[in-house]
Amino acid sequence: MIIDDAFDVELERLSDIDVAYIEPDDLKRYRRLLEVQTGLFRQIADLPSGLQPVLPEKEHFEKGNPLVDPEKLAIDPDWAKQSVSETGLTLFQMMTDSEDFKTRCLKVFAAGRMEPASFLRWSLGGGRIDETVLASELGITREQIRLWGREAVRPWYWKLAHDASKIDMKDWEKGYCPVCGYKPELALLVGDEGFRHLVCGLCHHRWIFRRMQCPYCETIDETKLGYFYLEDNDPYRVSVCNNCKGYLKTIDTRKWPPLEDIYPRVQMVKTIYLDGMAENEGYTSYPNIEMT
Amino acid sequence: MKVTRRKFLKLSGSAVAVAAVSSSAIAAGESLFNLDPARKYAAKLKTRYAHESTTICPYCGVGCGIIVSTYSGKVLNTEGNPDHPINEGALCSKGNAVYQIANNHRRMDKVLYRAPGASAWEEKSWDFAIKRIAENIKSVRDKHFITDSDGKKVNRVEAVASLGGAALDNEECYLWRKIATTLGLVFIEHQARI
Repeated sequence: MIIDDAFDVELERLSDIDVAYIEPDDLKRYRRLLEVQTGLFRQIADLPSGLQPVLPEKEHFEKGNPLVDPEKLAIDPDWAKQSVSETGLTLFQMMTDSEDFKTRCLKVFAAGRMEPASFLRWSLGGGRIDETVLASELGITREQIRLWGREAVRPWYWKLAHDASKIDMKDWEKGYCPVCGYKPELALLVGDEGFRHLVCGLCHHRWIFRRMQCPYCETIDETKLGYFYLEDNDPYRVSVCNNCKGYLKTIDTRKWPPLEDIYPRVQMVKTIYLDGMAENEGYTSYPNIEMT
Repeated sequence: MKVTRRKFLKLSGSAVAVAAVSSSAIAAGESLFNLDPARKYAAKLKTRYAHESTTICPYCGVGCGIIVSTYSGKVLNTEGNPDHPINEGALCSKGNAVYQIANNHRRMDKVLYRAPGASAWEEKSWDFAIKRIAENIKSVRDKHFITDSDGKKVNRVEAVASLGGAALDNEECYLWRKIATTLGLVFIEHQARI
């Protein structure tokens, strides 16, 4: 069975991972981050999200618009502050001198150069900040600032996905998430028929998408579609598109041991070697696609 | 390449910016994990590649969709196509076994002939087989041809029947139907109807 929201079990499963292809410190930090994010999520899980309880106009989906518009996202400022602080410290405590980082953060907050709710909205494409200056003041890189923004806003998006799961989204036909618009991070082939479920890389919402279509560039040209697999690696494959050079890790649940549950969040981590494999073969999880 | 207009959130990556979204959301972000160990580990793995394509089941008139995985012309797997509106991924027992059209050691790949009254099979050439089949059809037809029946001209053969296979395509079926009718056959059937 596929189990989507089982944070405590997932944390336990993550502790059991001991493989050559994941650095123990990275795993330890990820696990700690997930603990922090779980706590943040639980604080807001029962609050009203502002999402409409019914499906929006059919045209909304037909135009390819996800449910959430980040520019209109209303995030509780106290929660935003807590999330930005806790995720920042968790992410960077092992990478930088944590006391120095904490001091710098407080200075930046006090000077008003980083309003937490605005920072979260910026990380999703709403508003602007001067990331170069901010990175310099905080002693981290621009890439790390973006990572921080993404991880800090993630629990809020889990909440939105959780609320959106009550909405019937069977008319959604896009390769990006119908809730938040982010790209998929994992695919599952489900049921005897092998329907393809995509798992969002941000909010972890799961939706059905066509088997024979690239979720990134949307090509249905079969000559461009294929997958890599390992001989003894039965349930796992890496679906690839030779049109945009995008890849997506895929689990064929029909080949999964029948009595074992599948935790997509854990699998995203456990299958990092497939990311390595895809990159070695010349594919990317962020294909270069021009939008019109 | 271009795709239809859409809002595509990218918190990291190298895509061209969407007009409505701040460019800060589009630039590359750091991963939570150092991928170097994963790349090194993966470099030692033996990977295989499979190409996927769709086809239609050859067996009956329903026309269920099938996904075929192949590599270098070899069929690795067949399964129902969940995108297909007719079967939505389901396949009957025959459709499920379509893999064996390509891969089954029990499939005959040579002509075998058992002479009348004989108990053993002999291997023969295609030339022999086609000639023999044509001779048999002709001789049975000539022997059992009915010119008139109940005072009417019928010009038919009831001693030869034709059963078409689902692996025949429309063009082959059309030609064979013409030949069978020209020979005078009336018992002309096809597996797809059954």
